[in-house]
Amino acid sequence: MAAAEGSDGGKMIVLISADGQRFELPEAAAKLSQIVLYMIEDGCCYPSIPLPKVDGVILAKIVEYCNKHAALSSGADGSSDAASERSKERELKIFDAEFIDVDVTTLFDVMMAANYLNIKGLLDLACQRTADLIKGKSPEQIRQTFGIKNDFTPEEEAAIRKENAWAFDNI
Amino acid sequence: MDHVDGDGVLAAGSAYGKTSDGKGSSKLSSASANDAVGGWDRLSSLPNDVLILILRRLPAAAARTILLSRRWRNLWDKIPELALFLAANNDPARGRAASRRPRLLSPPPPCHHAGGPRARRHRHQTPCR
Repeated sequence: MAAAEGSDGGKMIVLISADGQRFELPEAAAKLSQIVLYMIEDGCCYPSIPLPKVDGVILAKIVEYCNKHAALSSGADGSSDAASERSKERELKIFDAEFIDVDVTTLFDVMMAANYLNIKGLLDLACQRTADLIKGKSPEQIRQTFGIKNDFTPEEEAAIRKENAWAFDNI
Repeated sequence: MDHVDGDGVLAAGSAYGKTSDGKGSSKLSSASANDAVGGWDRLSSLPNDVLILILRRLPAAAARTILLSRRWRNLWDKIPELALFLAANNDPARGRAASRRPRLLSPPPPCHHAGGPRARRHRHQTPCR
């Protein structure tokens, strides 16, 4: 039942994953997803919100992210002094770094789920992590890291390198 | 660019686990996919708008991705905002590169009168001829 109240008296939202797992989270956390937010505003969240494109393992991670960020968001606990805000920011940074330190498969699953659910902060985090995995690598190293098949002929590859030599100066 | 909904992006396979050649599943599964080594190329199967979000975090080094595969080269060819992003982010260290970047600065595509976010963005940037 999606309209249940949590321990703090706030509304709880129920999400159902593709494999039927049920996740209950505070409305404030669920609203980090723009898609879920719109469903709540439109009254489409009762008794639960099915998410047929996200399986339980990934939805569990998404819920973990939303719960943490909602709990530590500015003003969530009524405190508003600068020191407290800085402390929360630090805690969130540490949480994010550990949260996204996952294998490539999980990273892409999280990224696609964040895109589907429209969770901006999480999509940014996953994209940044992917960018970090690309940084400093040669095209061949990037291909190896992500399993990208080089479908250029040697002649085509040479032509592209020649036309864009500035980009490959140090490779 | 914040969230992208896939509407109006160039065809690049589904955002949600399907590749353009039909591999993958219809849901976001953590169990089905292989890792990069020996598995299918999940990075390239992401929708264009998500790939752009990634490339925007790579400044000048993003240009190297043009050499990864046809999929990536086409991304540069079809989405001029990538090149515009690089051009707009010049700094002294990258100035030399910017001055020698003619091939990556593709001309804008023909104006699309159909709907979709990309077509709308394009109308703002370049008048119809």
